[in-house]
This record gives sequence, structure tokens and C-alpha cells, in this order.
Amino acid sequence: MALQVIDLSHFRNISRAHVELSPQLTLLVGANGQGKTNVLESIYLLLQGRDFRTSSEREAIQNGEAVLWLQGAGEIQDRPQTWQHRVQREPVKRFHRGIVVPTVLFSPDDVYLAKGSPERRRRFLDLLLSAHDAHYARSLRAFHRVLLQRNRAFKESSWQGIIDDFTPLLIREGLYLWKRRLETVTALIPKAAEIHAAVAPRETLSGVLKFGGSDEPIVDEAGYRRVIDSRRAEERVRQMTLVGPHRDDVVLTLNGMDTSVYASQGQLRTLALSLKLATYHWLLEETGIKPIILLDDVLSELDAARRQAILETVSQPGQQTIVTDTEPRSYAALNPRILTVEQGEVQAWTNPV
Amino acid sequence: MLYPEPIQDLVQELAKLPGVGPKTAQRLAFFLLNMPKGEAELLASAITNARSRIRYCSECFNFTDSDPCAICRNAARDPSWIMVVEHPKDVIAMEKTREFKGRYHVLHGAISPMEGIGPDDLKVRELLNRLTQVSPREIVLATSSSLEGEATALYLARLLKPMNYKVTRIARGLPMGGDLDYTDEMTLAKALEGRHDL
Repeated sequence: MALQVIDLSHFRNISRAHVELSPQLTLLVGANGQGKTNVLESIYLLLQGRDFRTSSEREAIQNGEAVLWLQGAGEIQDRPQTWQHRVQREPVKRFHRGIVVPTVLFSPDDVYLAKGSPERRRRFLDLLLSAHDAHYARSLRAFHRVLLQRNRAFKESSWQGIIDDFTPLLIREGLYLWKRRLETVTALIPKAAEIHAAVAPRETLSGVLKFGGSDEPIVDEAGYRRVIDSRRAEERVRQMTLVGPHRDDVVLTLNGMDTSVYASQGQLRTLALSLKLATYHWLLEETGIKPIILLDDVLSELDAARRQAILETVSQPGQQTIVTDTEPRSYAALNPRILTVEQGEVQAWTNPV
Repeated sequence: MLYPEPIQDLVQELAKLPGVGPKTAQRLAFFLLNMPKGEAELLASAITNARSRIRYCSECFNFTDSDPCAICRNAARDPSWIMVVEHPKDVIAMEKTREFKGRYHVLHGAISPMEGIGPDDLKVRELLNRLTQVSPREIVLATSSSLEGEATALYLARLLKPMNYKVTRIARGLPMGGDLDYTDEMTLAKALEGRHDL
């Protein structure tokens, strides 16, 4: 399976580009700030229908342009496929066509996954689940709309009476999000722990999904309602909804220590790597398709053992990977197709390595 | 260069219509200017006419040119069977089924705090007044299945049930000709809940 070619038009700093990808390894080489990550972002957007960098896709339209446009063609499980994505600035319009292809992105920002705010970990789960579960994506949108409505009602004294007309809807959507997140975290963590133990044998990784607004996980609608009822007085004071998936967190620990507080930079990097590789295996199991791997300048920061963990996955037969790097050396052994990215221009590499 | 003032005014007014941006407004304005004078006047008088002759029906609050409206005047329609809908267009949709023999009540919207719409901005008080006069045998809540429609139905149910009215909600389920495997879980769950004997 592979994405064979992608055409970009007015995407970030790329005015126009025609990019032919190798079915195995493609290496995008260029100095910093030339647009390497933009190419990865466009591939992700085309294959997932979602942008990992921004929630407002209009930001990805090139400055001074009205429309961004991406088109791709390839073969998934021996069947030809095409993808299209188009975003218009004014009035805002968005068009997407094409099947969702499992994709795993390794980015330098992954370090913040275990360290940063819970919002990052929720976004990680949301991106993963929304792409492959249309019901999840719908529920997520619906949940945030009910949340806005309910929070707005808290702020107006004459609307206190209608707050609870939104509560059953909040629970309905919230419960689905919680259940799917719980299933996913429960499947991902043991995989991640196994990978982590292989590269860092002295560290034991574990993790749990914590229900937003309560110390105890919930199991059903009645439980959800009990938690919401118990914090109702506080909700009134703070004029907002305090219970639900919008406050979920994935609490990760290494040897029992909470990583959001205690992990070192090196540990965070290994942890992120373990989580992403676990995601790769989880997607492979869920979809039966080898996910496309996007590596954004991450290898340079890893030591030999961790680098090996990624390279083993990347060098499997039939594995398509797109990598960015400032120079082509690290991957020479894998025989990549090399493209250069310079000031938004993407071209085939002409100098022999 | 700017257009002469009358054209600018026209474009500005047209651009206030839903779904019409500045470009479309311009196109419409030139279309209106190019059409035969009589036709443009027909359009203008149709707008004025509709505005001056259409008002709310004093019973159901649907749009009407005669008060009470044709449905509320129709003696064959059960006055104690009341269906609550969000918009006048919902009445038209329901009428097409020819299945409902009761009368309507149009709320003119749904509860949406985000947009500043609370129960007081809808025809809820009018509904309560009407109910005290007709002592209904059943009130059907037929607001849409959007979040706001659902919340409005929950609100009305909470308000009306303690008054010992029979309150029902229209069912949700599979669309005609719909495939099971393309249906979202929530709709499927509702469809299962609403199953019946054959």
C-alpha cells in the first residue's frame, strides 16, 4: 500500500509542488524553515482528513492566497485510491474526499505529550479516534456544542432552569467519548509498556485514563449522573461544567512516578516514542493496514537503541515512510528516494549521496 | 469606483439575506436591474404584501393571512391533540404526511443559550396559556433531533408533565431505505428502543 503522488497548491509556504513518493522510504532534506514539515502536514491532512498542527485549517492557506488545494493518488490494498482536500478562506469552505489511511506521525513535539497539559493527551486520543471512528468524531462535535450551551446557561441568572435540560445530552455524548477513550487507552498502554521496557529496561511504564472531574472511573450513565450531581453546587459557583470528557486526562507513570511532574527530558522522549510505536501497532491491528509513518526530524535526538526501535519498524517490507532531516546521511542504508525542500520548492535530489 | 447609491443600497440589503454574501448580492442586484420593470415591481410588491398581510395565528403562532389560521379554523382537526414544532416549515413537512389530524403550536426556534435564545424568546408562555383553555389529551413534542431541539423537548416535558398532561416525543430511528451498517450507534439504539410487534 502506498501514497504514490501528492500535488500541493498554496499550502503554507508551498505555492505549488508535485511530489512523487517511494513506496518504501522517502527522505525530505532541507535546512530548517524551508517547508519540510509542511509536506508532512499536507500528507497527514490528505490521508486523515484532519490537521495535526492546527484546528483551524484556514491557517494552512498560503499568505495572500484564497484557497489551498491538495490532491493525492496511490494504492491501498491493491486498489487505486485518490484523495482531495480543499480549504477556502472566505467564505470558509472545506472539502475532503478519500478514504482514511492509518498514519502515525512522530514529531519533536511528542516530548510534550507526557509532560504538557492534559489537553495534549486528549487531543492525541481525539485525533486517533476521530479519524477511524465517524461516530466518535460526531459525538465529539456534539459534546462540545452541548458544553458551550450548558456553560452559557450557567452564566445567565434567568437560564439556571434550563441547565439541566442539557445535562442528559451532555451525559449521552460524554459517555460515548469516555468509553471509546477508555478502550483505546486500555489497549495502547500495555503495548507502549512493552516497547518501553525493551529500550529502557529499568523503567516500568503504566498509565490510566482519568475521568474528568472525578477520582473514580465511571461505568455507566447513572455513575456519570451521580458525579455531576455531587459537584453541582461547585458548578454553579464557577459557572461552568466541571464533569466530563473535556477534563479527562491520561495519567502516565514511570516506576510509579507521574511523568507530567517527574520525568526527565530523555525519559519523555522514550515515552513518546513508545506511545507512538504502540499507536502504530494498535492501528495495524484495528485496520489491518500498515500505517504510513511520518517522521519529523526526530531521529537526530535519539540515542542508538531508540533509533534502532524506529528503524526496525521503518525497514519492514511494504512499509511506507516519509522522513524529514537536515542532511541525508542517517538513512543512506535504507536506500531512500531523496527530495530537497528549499523555500517551498520540492525537487528530486541530484547530487549522489 | 463605487456604484451609484441606489445600487449600493440594494446590494447592502440583499447581502443581509441568509446564505447571500457580497458577491452574490451584487449578482442578484444586477439581475434585478436588468429584468423587465414589471417583474421587479411584482417582486417588490410580493415582499411588501407578505410583510403586511402575514401575521402569527393567535392560537398556534404559525404564519397566516387570516386569524385563526386555516388549520386552527378546521373543525375536523382535533383541538385537544397538539403538536409542538420549531418552525412553520415543520408544519408544512408534517402536513405532507397527511397522518396528523390534530393542531400545531409553533415555537419559532429552539433553546440555545449560545445564541441568546431562552424559553422566554420562544412561544412557550403562549403554549401554556393555550393549554389551560383547551385541556389537551396529548401533546406531541416534535422539535428537531438537533441538540437544541432535544433540549427544548426536555425543557417542555419537564414543564408540562407535572401539570398531568400526556406528553409524547416523536420517535427517532432508521430512515426509509437506510442500511443498518451505515447508521450511527445512537440512531440504532433509539431504533431498537422503539421496536414494535409485527
